[in-house]
Amino acid sequence: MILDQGRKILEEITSSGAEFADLRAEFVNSNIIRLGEGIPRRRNEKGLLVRGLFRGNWGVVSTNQLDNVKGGEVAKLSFGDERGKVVRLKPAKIELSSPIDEGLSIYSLLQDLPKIKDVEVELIEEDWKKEYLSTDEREIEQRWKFFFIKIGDGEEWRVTGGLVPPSPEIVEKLVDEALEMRTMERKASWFNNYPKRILLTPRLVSKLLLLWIKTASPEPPDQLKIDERVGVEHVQVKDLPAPLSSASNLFVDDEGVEGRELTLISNGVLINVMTDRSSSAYYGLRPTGNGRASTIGGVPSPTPRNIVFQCEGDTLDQIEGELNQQDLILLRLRNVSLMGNQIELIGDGKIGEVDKVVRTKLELNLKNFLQNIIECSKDLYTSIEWIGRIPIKVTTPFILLR
Amino acid sequence: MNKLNDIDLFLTKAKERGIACTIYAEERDTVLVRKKAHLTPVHQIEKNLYVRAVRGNRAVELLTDELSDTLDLLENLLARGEPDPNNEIISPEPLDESYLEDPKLNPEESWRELVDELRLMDPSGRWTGEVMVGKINRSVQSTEGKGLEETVTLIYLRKIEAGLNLQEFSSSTRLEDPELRRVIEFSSESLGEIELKGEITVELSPKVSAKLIEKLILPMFFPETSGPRGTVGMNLRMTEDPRMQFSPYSRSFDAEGLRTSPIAIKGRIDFLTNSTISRRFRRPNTRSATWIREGRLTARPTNLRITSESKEEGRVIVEEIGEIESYDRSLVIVPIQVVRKRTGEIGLTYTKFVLDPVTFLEQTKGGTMKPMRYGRVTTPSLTLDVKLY
Repeated sequence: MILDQGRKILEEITSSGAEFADLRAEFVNSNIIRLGEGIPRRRNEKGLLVRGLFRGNWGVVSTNQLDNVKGGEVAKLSFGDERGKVVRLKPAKIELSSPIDEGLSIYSLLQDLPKIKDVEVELIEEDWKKEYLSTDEREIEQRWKFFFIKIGDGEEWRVTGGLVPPSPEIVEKLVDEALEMRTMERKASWFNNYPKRILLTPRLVSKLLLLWIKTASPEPPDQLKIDERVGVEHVQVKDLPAPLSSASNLFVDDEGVEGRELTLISNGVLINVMTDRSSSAYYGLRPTGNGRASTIGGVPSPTPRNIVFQCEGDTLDQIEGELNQQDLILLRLRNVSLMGNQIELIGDGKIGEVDKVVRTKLELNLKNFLQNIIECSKDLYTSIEWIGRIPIKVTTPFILLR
Repeated sequence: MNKLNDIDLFLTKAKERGIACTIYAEERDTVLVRKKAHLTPVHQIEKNLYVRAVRGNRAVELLTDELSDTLDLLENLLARGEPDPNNEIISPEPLDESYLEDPKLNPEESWRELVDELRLMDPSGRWTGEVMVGKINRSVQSTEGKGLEETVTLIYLRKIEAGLNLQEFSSSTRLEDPELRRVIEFSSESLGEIELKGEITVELSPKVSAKLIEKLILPMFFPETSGPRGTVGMNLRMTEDPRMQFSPYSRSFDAEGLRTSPIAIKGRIDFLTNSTISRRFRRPNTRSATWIREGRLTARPTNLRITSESKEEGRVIVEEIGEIESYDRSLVIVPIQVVRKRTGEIGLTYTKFVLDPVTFLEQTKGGTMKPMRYGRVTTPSLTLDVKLY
């Protein structure tokens, strides 16, 4: 419905001298319940991002007041002596919609939930609609509905989600895990020795991997080291177009680019980086479909979608069975600090086969962390991490690090 | 006027249905220019209406940008709420004074001039950074009393030396604020390397002190924080000050329309409150009602002002620190990046110290550098004993 109005805005921008223009409109209606608080919440949000490229200079308007945007205003903003470019795409008309059962609601879950104490639980349902239009005649409409559950154990929120609200059994399981984590950290005593090996849980692998990915797309791009060895031989990292069943629903990105399967690391070697349309032109690469905005109506930048990290390995039981008292199973991060490539962690974990909870301080070289992998679990686990408002699906194994 | 008429009409209809309501409206009109690989100016125009409605002790909260069709939605949500006698809509207080708008500022001209002054268009690409200039209009309208509004001017500057991790930033409500000159005139020096280790007294520059306080101490004022709340030591004085003229985080009234005033923080830090939280926990209302972006009415500090009578000198001044990602704020590693010796020599260093925020608050002393404002925190340099490793 915004598209008719959008065509008019793009015409105005083009007639003001733009060589390229596009717009993205987003509509998100959310219902939120924080258990035990008794206050239902609702967010009706929208956002419109309109961009024009004028002789290499960008002008951008970001607003939730959809009726007030004039193309001429975008032209007035373009400024400077930049040499910005954007990759042009073939015309396309795409409509995507995940199956939406309008009857499903977080409120229907409430009556079946057990009484929950000592952890915070937030249930969220989000109904999304995105529309995109550009002067290279790409017209895209996407719609999906998603349910999240956030469990807070007092300090950290863990999130999971799906196309249907979580079952009471899943809520109970997540609550039990959060309570177990809290009990564990209360018992923690300092471990001052350097462990010989560290087993990282998939959640921690996800956090470190996202930090690593951030450093793998440098600005300026002349520091980019494609074909450099970054991991051990069997490490494969891919970023996939997120399927419609995923929280990070993005078959088409926020710049109208169809996602393609992108292999970032093949056999331990960095072979690709994620790009948006602007950085693709800058790097001279084909766009990867990673232009994502971290806020509603925000400016897109290269961002992961659906990361899958694999390396050959044993079962988790086998790996755990080989651990001894000089090894640490790291379960939770309390602090991460970055200084260049050096990463310092404070975390809680267990020593080898002994059921003793310790707090420890570790140093890792972020650049080399994938090169220090000794072993990975065969089984992969998926979690949802966040960059601003964007959920990122990350699937990883447990990894044993040197 | 159109906006106020819409809200007035909505409140009249809500009252007819027996719904008590407060609407906090925030309209932002800013230009943000960011220079990374390219210079990109973004005109941001945003209007958000935060609605809290109460009927029969049941409350609901809504974030929207328009009020049409909203009354039926509120009715539906109210039916799902749970009764709580602490839920109430209070009457706003009349505005006493507001001085947060710079009437001389012309945002259209100012952002271009500031981009130029920060040398973000320098063809050498030496400088990157951000300029934001604009206005924020805040208002509170209620079924329970007369509304009030104020306009806040916002100027934000950040200048980064490309290649080196050195930067300066500031925000203000006035172009003539000297704190903005600090950013415009920022120029990096050539850096050698300085080796440091062992137990040492360091003086954290106002910028570094403010970064640590914002990250570690500010959340102790949030009602939701379950982590440790520290005690302000004998050597520091701390004030939550919503009335700082040059700070764009200041406000003459909170999100429920109550007049704000400075609060001296003595002893253990206690969480701030709004009307509901104060009733629920039987505490005084600190008039700190704030809507957070996720659409929830809670309480937040505005500006934290630190002063100290002590002027302890550290062996070195820490001028820049690295990134800290803190998951629970109980213990953090602070990577030191740039230090200045007492002799004036400045250099990069590769060392760090572990900091427990509670101990930091209790044991730190005032340093020798005068207070400066960084974001929500105004502080002099702070001196503390650390073990470097």
